[in-house]
Amino acid sequence: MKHPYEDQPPQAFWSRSVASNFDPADVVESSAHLVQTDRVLTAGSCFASNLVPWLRSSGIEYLSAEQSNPAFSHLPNYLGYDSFSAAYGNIYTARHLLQLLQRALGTFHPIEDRWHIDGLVIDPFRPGLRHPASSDREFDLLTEQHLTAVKQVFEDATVVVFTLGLTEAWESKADGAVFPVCPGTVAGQFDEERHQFHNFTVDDVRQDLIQIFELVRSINPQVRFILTVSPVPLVATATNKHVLVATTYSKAVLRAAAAVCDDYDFTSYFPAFEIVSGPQAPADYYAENKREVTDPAIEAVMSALFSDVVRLPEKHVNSDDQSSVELSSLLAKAECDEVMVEGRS
Amino acid sequence: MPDDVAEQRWKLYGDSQPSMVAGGHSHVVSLLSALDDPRRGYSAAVAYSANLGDGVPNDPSYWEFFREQAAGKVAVVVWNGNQHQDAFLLRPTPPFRVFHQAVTEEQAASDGVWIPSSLLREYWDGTFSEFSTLVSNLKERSKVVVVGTPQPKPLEFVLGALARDPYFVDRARDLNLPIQASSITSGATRLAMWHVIQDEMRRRTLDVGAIFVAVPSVAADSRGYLASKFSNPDVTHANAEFGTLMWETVQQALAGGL
Repeated sequence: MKHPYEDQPPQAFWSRSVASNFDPADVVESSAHLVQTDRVLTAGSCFASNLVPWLRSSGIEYLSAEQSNPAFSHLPNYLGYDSFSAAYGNIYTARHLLQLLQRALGTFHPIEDRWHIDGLVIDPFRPGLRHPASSDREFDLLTEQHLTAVKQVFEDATVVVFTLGLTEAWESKADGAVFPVCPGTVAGQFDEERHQFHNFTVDDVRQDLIQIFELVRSINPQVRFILTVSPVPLVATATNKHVLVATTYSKAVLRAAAAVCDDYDFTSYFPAFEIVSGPQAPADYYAENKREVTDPAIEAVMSALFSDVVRLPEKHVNSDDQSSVELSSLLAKAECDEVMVEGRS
Repeated sequence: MPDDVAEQRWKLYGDSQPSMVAGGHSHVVSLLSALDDPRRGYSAAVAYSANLGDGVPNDPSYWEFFREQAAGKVAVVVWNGNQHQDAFLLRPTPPFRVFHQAVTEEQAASDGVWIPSSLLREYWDGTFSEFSTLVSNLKERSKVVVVGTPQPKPLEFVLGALARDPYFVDRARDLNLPIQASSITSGATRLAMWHVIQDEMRRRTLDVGAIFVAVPSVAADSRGYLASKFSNPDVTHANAEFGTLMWETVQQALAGGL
């Protein structure tokens, strides 16, 4: 009688598929492939913004509901608010995305929904917005418009690509509203009476993801999800652990929670984390600071994700203007508000 | 530029020993025109181009001339005020609207997405910064009063005036826009932009310890646009009546009445 491993394909064996012959495209489930007719929405940590130029150059429709008006295109717009399908900026945790959806659908109204600072009204959920509101009414109008755009893109998407970034988050003690970054780092003021640390568990993240699936499919029943885990380590941890240990915990939790994809036929896991941080990855996939993901790593990830829809490298390298790879690099370097944690420490 | 050349380019109109000297961009012409008002009972002058046909002074030597003429007197500054018309009178693509509490949201409903007023302030930061520098410089030798600039005009008026204005006709041609209502940014959005500009001018004026004199509400019609009584026939400017109103309002402010 054969033992179970005898019928396994080469990719089931480390020696044959990792130690040698490793091809990032081989680790992608067929269900995670994009098709030319897809309308793709992206959300997640700053690593997710790398998808945008690749999507755009692949000919797949990238949903983008809140781009800057061209009349103001010469003004800088930093921290990635232009880099996702609506101007929600970086969404590091599943809880943040869940609550964003709940706000867009009118089922969650955070108590601490604005900060008044120096005559401006700051959005705690988009604290790095370069152009905040100047009055409460203006804030209400801009926020309502944003949440309408969020709902619209989630209704229009055929594929939602969500990159899980962190388990560590700061939330309002009043109602658990999760902020993208710790109050006081990008904007606002930290107040231990109002703000608390929350390090999400596998079960937390898994349940949040299930609720995200349910909510989005309640307004868009045909949508598919592709989950990824960002390979970018934590800038800093608020736990009492070494940041390396905290990073490992965080990524392990996210990876384990993302296994929820196995429970649904409309969800897929795309192994960006494994491609970049696995033992097979070349040393130059991380920059000298051992945190920043380099252009070759991004290219490897994106090539794998787009392997079925785009012939590489012709589609991406042949550009008269700034290449997609360069754009990816710029986006990744410029738009992580998470790094502000370090900036003020 | 040598002083004699500057003297040839710029001229002081009005009283030879004025207590108030106004200077600025094109909207100062309404104050200049008001100097001819036979009822005028105040001492004033306006620094402007020696040849009125040369148009708006836009040269460092002009501001130095103004500074010299206003030394020891009240310097009345009329700064820009057409930046919203210049950039956005012809409707941008896609259109946008701006919130200001003085303009009802219903009025602005026909335009596109809301943009933050802080975006506009950054968009115009260059001219605002120049303004702050000018007022600070003037303050070294003068008592400085900054006056508000006239409200935008209603759409029905703008449409007629636009067709006669070579500058905007050329702009419309360049943008491939017909001269029709749909090519013009709504009055509500132009009004909101005007309020944003006035607010920023006031803030910056007060920041440097000068006096800001807003356009009195009497200059506006029931919808907030420049009342026809104060309107010059062109797209953007006010008339001598408006100039008289502003001179009088400046006097009230100086007398502590505002």
